[in-house]
Amino acid sequence: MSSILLLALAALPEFVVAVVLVILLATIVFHVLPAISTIPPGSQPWDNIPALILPCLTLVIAVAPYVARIMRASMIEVLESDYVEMARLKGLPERTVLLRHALPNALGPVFQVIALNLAYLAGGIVVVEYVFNYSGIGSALQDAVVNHDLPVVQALAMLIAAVYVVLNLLADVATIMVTPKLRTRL
Amino acid sequence: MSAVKGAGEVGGGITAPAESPVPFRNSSLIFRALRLWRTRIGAALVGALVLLAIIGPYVAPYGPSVPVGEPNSTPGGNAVLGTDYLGQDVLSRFLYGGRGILVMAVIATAIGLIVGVAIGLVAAYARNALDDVLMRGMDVIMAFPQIMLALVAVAVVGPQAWVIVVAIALTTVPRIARVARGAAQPVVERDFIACSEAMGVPRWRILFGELLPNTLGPLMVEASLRMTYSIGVIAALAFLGLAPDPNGANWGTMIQQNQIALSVQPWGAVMPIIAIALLTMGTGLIGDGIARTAAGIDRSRSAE
Repeated sequence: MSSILLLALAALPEFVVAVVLVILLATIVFHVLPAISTIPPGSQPWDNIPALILPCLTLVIAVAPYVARIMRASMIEVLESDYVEMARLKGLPERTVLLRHALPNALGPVFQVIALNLAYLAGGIVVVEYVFNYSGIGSALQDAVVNHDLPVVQALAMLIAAVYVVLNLLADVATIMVTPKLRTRL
Repeated sequence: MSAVKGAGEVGGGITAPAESPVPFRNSSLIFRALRLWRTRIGAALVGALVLLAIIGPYVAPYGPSVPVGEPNSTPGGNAVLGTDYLGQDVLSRFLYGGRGILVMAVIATAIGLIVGVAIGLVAAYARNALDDVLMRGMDVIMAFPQIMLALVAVAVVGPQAWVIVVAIALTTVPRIARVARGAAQPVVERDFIACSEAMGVPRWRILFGELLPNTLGPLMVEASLRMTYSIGVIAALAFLGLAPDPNGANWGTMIQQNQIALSVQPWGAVMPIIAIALLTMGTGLIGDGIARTAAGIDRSRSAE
């Protein structure tokens, strides 16, 4: 049941999530949060925390189902392996089996997905920025393309590509660090 | 990915020609998947919305851009779901609005699938520098989020339908190619491929006659996933105001036009939101059903 819910959430386009959240929390049903989060010139994003809640919540709902699903799939695979059976046969409590024996080996694919999602968050959320009128990298890139502002396009494309490369590298290192089987490779 | 590994081995070992049992198993994959409730729900959702998009325009009470009353009037009178920001009938625009998105998403995914499968299979079969060249090229396209490349293409050329379709197809290709290559790589090493080569079977027939049927499981999963994203990106582009027709009846466009009036007349935005949500959920559920079935077949077989 919960996996069907995760699946349904993962399939939703993020602008649908964003508009639904605006309907639920900022306009019709409850009116508790600001519906837009503009940053006035000279102020910092964190100066107005309530305005950041809805965009962040949107992105959490957009990204979390992927991580949860890959965690589930990876954990199921690891739980079928011989060393987990060995740990259970030794009579270890199920908690120890899950957290100390299974979890570290299941985290590798999860880090990869987190890295891909962070890279996506760095450059691909122009639609969410549009819904909440937030001036982020995505909308900056779109403006630069529309205005044929080539230097800005180049700088932002370099930035997005650099984030992608660095995050993938970090994910690989983190995978090696947490996976007992791979630790000797460092 | 591992779903297909077992598929040929069982039939191939005993009944000799590896070709015959495999396509049978893959075509039955969809029927097996339909035994799962999630696949049935997904198929029902997608079927209902496709039907709505096809027959909608014939049963709509008004044309998509005919003013029928005051702007943003609430449901009642001659407009069942009220009117939108220009006084057009929300129900009629909703019934007209699915066609464009669905047609573009299907064509874009189909093109992406065909080209992606061809590139992925060629890369897996080549096993040389061509493999690296093709896949690193795919990586370059994949480093940028799908929506950004689509936005750049539309901003440079203009929001014509073919530009959107080509942009979505282009960003679908590398993702399909990666899956196709990954699924084909273990198959390339198998004996029946070497056997076909020794028999002098033409290369394109090895690729599409021997390799392709053995990669269909993962490809079907990926295809339904890409369909989900294609719908999402096309709707998102329309939501950003980049639809082929800026005032056309289109679910994405409707959300953008009517979200300002949410607190006065919510239906103009809520109806298309529900439609897009159910459609993408439906394709997502179908994909997951096929994935689970393929994995289940593999698991029961490796246990034998």
